[in-house]
Amino acid sequence: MENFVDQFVVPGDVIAKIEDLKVRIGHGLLQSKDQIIASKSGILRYSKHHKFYWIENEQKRYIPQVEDMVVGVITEKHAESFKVDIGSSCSALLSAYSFENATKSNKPLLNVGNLVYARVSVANKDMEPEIVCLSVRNKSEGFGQLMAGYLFNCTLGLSHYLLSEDCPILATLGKHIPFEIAVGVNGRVWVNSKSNLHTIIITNTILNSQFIPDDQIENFILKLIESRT
Amino acid sequence: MEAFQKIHPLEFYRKFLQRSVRPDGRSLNDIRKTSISTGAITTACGSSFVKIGNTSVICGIRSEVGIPSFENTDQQTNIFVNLELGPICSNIYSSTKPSEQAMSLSSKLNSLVKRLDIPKEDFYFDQEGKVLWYLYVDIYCLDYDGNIMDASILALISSLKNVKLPRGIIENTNEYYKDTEQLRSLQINHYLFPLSFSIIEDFILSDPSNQEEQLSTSNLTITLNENFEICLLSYSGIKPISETILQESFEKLKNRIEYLKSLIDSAQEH
Amino acid sequence: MTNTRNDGRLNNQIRAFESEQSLLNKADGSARFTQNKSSVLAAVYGPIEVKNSRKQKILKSLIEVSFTPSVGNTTYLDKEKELLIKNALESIILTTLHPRTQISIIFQVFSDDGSIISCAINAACLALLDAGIEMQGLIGSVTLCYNHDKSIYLDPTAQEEKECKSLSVIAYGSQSSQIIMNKTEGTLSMDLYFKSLPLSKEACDKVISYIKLAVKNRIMGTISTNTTSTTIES
Repeated sequence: MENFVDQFVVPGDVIAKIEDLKVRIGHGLLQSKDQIIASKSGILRYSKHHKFYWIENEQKRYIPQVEDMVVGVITEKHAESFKVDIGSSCSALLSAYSFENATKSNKPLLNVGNLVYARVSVANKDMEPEIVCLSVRNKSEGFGQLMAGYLFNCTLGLSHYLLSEDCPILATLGKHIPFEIAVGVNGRVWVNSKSNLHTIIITNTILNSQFIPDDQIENFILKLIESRT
Repeated sequence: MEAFQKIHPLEFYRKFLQRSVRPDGRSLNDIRKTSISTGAITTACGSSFVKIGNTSVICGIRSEVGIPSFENTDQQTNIFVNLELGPICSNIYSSTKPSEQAMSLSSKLNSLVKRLDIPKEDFYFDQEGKVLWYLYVDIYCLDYDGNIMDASILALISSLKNVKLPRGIIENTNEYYKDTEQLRSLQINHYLFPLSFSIIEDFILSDPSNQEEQLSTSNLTITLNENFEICLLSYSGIKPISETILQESFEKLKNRIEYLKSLIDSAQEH
Repeated sequence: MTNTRNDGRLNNQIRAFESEQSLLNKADGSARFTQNKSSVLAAVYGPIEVKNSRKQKILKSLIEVSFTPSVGNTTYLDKEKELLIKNALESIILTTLHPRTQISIIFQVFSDDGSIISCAINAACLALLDAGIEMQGLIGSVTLCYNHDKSIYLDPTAQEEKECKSLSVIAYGSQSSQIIMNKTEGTLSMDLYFKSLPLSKEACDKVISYIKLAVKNRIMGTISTNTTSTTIES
């Protein structure tokens, strides 16, 4: 299985035969009898942190998976729950009690159109997904409402790239412009900075980074800043 | 037992198929009782009625005169087939929206008819062919119990052979007269012999009934002419099909050709 | 003596392929497949919520196909094409992974110079790969026309389709050597039909390897401008 990592695969390719293998497989890989077969086209990746194999491609549609961290938009507000759009085929359910220190009398002040950064807690193909604004230790730790800022969509591949260690784009951007960012693996990125101009520059840089090689990113950013100031 | 059939139709069928029979007593290769009769509709210039088991199909042909088209192809452009599946035959069809299945079958029947090789002279209204006959074939399903394709193809070929066109006279280049005393038929020397199969899991069933079609994963329709040439082959389904199964299907159809030919011929004589 | 066709090809020569992927912004996946003058754009939306909840399937995803010709309104001929393409694609898409959803595949024909159903199926395969919809393998399709002089032309143009004795559209998958979809019309002898099956399988294999190459170039191309390794941070 290791020799396929970082290789391009297409649907139908046999990745490995399960004899004594103990592996966790993520989306894009299927177990068929005694073989592991790719069901999507893309590059096979191995996540050292979560210890599972998955296939990375440039798709735009998000399929919810447990423990994914996503950015969602609230579409409906009910008495004890919210319906959140996370980009999947079905809206996700966010209970009003899945926030830190939430009780019946202390519910979160969220309205339709607000943004939240949440973690997927229930996701299977037959039910609607559920998200919570709590970390595994039941603390907020960055989850919850995202105030102000700007939300844009990107492909799933790009969002995984932004979440990788030492992502050069974000480091380079940070040298020139101060900003905060929340990346959801559902292809949504939230950016907040001091002025609209900076937000626009950050958005353009991130979206264009797919087409510009790493060494020219710095020049691209400097050009954008100069042309406006 | 009826409850079992409704709740687990696939399981119910599997129990029969494993013993190579079907719930109505047929073996996997048996075909239901087929009957063809012609000339039932006196106002049409050709008609036929085909019954395969419970599936009944009636076909009527209307003739109109028109000028020849400008296209110069070998293919038949004078016959237009339309198949209608309305609510009379089954509760799954609506009267307002034409069903996709009916449109797809109409398209297949039209492509069958296009390459039937009827001599052009047969369609001449007058002696020179300045004006032509156009035939509009309407096929209506009266009762849908599966295998509409076979019934329609048999109905189509029987009614075409049954067509009687009057002799035409043109006077003064604008007046057309039909001499209904002298009728002639089209010279159709070809026959079309169809057979449809449904594949449920790994079992191949000939002449599927409605319930078998709904449970099937794939459908195959083949049509041969009297020279054993393929006139139509249509396979679509969720699982792929191998060449050997295709060859076996052709063999099964070949065995049935004699019987179908006698049915079509005897229907013409009455 | 090889009998060349009107455009100078050999009997078993397919027209050169061209394809573009991810052309549309809104669609989850899109691709355009061109074989000389036949060009079809396929757009995939899915898995999404089923629009007509009566058609919702409990255990599977519903596949909806819409085919729009280059000229004129959709007629019953296009409906037949839709059903053929839908059945072919339903056999390779893993519909059980997304129950109670819908996968819509929309085709728009830019220009029709023969073999348009095959072109559409090939475009759909590329678009499905672009959208990341799970499949059991790849699908390739080719059209053959059988002439009056018993010769077989692969990938006919519109003119050749009009003049031939019979026409056959066939689709094979990458996973097995069995036929996924086939429709023949016109008179054709059984021997000639079975003799031409290996020829069509080989042609479909060529289409599938082209599709693989096209997707590989696109994906390896974009990833290489980012980083070599990606790990997910906590």
